[in-house]
Amino acid sequence: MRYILLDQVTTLKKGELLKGIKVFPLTHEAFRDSVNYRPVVPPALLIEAMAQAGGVLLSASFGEEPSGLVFAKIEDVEFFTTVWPGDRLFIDAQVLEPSENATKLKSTIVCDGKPVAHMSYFLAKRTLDPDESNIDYEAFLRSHKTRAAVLGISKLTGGTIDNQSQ
Amino acid sequence: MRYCFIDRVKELALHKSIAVSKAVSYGEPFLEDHFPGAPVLPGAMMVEGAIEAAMWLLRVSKDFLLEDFDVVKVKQAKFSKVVAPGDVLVTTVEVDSKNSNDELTWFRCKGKCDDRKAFSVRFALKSVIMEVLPENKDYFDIVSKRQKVLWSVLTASMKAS
Amino acid sequence: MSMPTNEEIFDKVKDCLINALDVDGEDVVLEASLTEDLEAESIDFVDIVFRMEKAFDIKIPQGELFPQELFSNKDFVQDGKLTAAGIGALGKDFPYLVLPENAENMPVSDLASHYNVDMLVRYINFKLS
Repeated sequence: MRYILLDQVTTLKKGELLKGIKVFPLTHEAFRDSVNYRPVVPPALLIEAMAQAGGVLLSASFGEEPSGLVFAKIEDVEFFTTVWPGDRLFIDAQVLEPSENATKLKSTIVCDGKPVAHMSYFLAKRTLDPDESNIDYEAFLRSHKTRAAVLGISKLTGGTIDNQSQ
Repeated sequence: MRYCFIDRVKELALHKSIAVSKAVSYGEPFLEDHFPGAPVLPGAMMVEGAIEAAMWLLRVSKDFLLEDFDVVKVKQAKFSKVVAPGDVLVTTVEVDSKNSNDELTWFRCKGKCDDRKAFSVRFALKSVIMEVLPENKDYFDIVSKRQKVLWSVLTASMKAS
Repeated sequence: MSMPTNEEIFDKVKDCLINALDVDGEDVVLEASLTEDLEAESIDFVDIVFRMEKAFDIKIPQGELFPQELFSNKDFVQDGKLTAAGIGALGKDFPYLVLPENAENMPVSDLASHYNVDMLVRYINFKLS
């Protein structure tokens, strides 16, 4: 199971707001041999998707060296409806309280114009030491570049990009 | 990869509490992206394990009634300690309260790794009773069987001791 | 804005803690230790600071409310305990803190559990005056 839970970034305002898209095809592992009667996306994955939207927003807002970002605390999550195979989710992440160490954010998910979930949470910076013995720092940096390219944000130079497909 | 974030049930008190463990190992597919070069168990997957444990507690306590559970709310999840390959996360889930018609259940949960606190969280599950139509009966039978099979695997070591 | 009373300050601080720590109001008493009784962790301190800044319309610079940086200063902490210089610095820069009697013999990590609700109220009084 891959653990990147954003497929596209459509809007990015550094330090403020990110809008992105995540789809859940039937190929996702969660749908296979599920012990739930309804093939719904496990809510913990929606939590992660919302957190990753915030994480991409923050790491795109940092300088050259990407810091690790740690999911420090979830204040509150509310789920309004379930997500099914084939659903296309529109995920927003917004910075609520910027700070040096831990930032408070809010993310929302909307599908077919209806609210799916929202979450308020804290992401903390984890300064990665290139010399730390059990970390492959090169691999980490490389993956950052790849992910930024695939999500469509590596062309960001100024403050905002808008890749809205419509 | 089997989408299952608990390995075994360690303790069970029907209608009250359940304790489970999850071992984290380097080969697990989701670690590849979390993070590349620095694998750690994602906080959201610690919550996933707690949710799965709570669902099993309800399922078994209600004798595998044909119902699903929706996660309605999650509150105050705090992630204190990194859980890395080689670690075993032991999570205890307890029923906090139920609403009057038993439909909504609040749980509180704590996860420890080598006796040090790794995370804590509270969440609420809502019961969704399944309506089985004749044309879907085979499908429901298969899922029911899957539940019982996985429950046997999760409790195998509990029975053996 | 006129100086709020101690009771008004306590009520607002209590609200901040109830929301940041997801605890019952009745657990938030002046003597309650943030870490021991209310189970606050380092990430919670960030949330508490945010909420108190909003509630009292003040700015709380990093390290002013919870003196973490002081504890990493080698002149102030040796062998995991506060030195006389450290105790002096705490008394001078953080007048709202109340150190326990045997502070010089207590491991620094134990001092953190000594931080209680009353100290937050005293901090706000100190800040607003």
